[in-house]
Amino acid sequence: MRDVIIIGGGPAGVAAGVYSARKKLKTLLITESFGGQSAIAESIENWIGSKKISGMEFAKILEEHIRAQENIEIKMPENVIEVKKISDGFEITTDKNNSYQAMALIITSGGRRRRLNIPGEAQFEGKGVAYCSTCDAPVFKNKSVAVVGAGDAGLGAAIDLARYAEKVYLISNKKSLIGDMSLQEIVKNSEKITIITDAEVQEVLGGEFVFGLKYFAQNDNQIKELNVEGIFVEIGSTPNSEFVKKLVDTNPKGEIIIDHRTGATSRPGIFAAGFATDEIYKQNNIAVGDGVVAALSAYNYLLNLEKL
Amino acid sequence: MKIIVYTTDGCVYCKMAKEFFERNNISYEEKNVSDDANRQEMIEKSNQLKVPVIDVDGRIIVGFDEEELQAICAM
Repeated sequence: MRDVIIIGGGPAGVAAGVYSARKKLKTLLITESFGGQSAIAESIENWIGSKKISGMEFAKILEEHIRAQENIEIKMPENVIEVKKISDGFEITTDKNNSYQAMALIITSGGRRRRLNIPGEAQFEGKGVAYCSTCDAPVFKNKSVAVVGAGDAGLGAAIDLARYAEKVYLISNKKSLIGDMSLQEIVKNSEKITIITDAEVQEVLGGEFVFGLKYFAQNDNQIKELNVEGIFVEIGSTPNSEFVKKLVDTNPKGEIIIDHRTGATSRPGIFAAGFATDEIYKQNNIAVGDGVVAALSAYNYLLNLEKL
Repeated sequence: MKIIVYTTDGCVYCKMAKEFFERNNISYEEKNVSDDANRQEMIEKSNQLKVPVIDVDGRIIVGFDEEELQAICAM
């Protein structure tokens, strides 16, 4: 039986791991990879202490920091499938058919990209449907493409794509754009980008590759089609909390509800931090601080159990 | 072993793939797909539109999976 298992290797999980290990807790960290959702970012410019760092470098320094600890065991790549309550703690099962037990858990499982969940999306993934504009924008040089989503990520993708594509449609189901004002300014001034608001994307059309998109235009109450060869989906992320939902309270978004002073969930012994929680501001710097809070609270919890 | 890595500038997994080959002292050729001919070649080989694509002696791998590459390069 371990003292604590940390699930996730993003900034929250690594922070929790460093603090748990330095408190001499018998700690196991299980993660698919390090760095969290920022690991694929081309550049991060708000990570305090670094003027500019690539997502890959960010993932690397986190991994180096956790591996430098003496009292930590790391399983990577490995994914948690289920968490169960057992008499003196918790048992988790992973996709490698391993099970591990600990008296306390810290959930820092982060999030994953949201999908449209419309016909054709899964079928044409990689055949025109894309989720990473910084990666794949040049592949769509001189083609017509659509970006779905009008938040910061959608605006950023439209700007990325306008450097290569012949035509970019920026589609939102909202009445107007919602992202950063300076990005909105660039988008509105671009001759290549056409903004379509109040539009509900319904279907991806294609043969061997994507050739179009069907959407419902709420203004004219009719279904319309666009001829595009690429569709970039930028509608945010969703928390990875399914595996623990039976044990802890979550809100309608699927976020784990925590006490923001302590990182405690509704289940004694389970703590959480970072993107998977109902933290309002989903930021790497905040995830690190919240990971520390969760680790210190887990330590106090174990002290009070008088098991240390 | 002849290896070609099809890349874009902003793609982190492309960088990871290149680092993997460098770390293991395996030589490779990089083809950036913002070049029209390279892009066409990548699409024809992989029949899809995502980077990175890695061609190891004609075997086409889409994306970067370190375990998979290790297995292939060990053969």
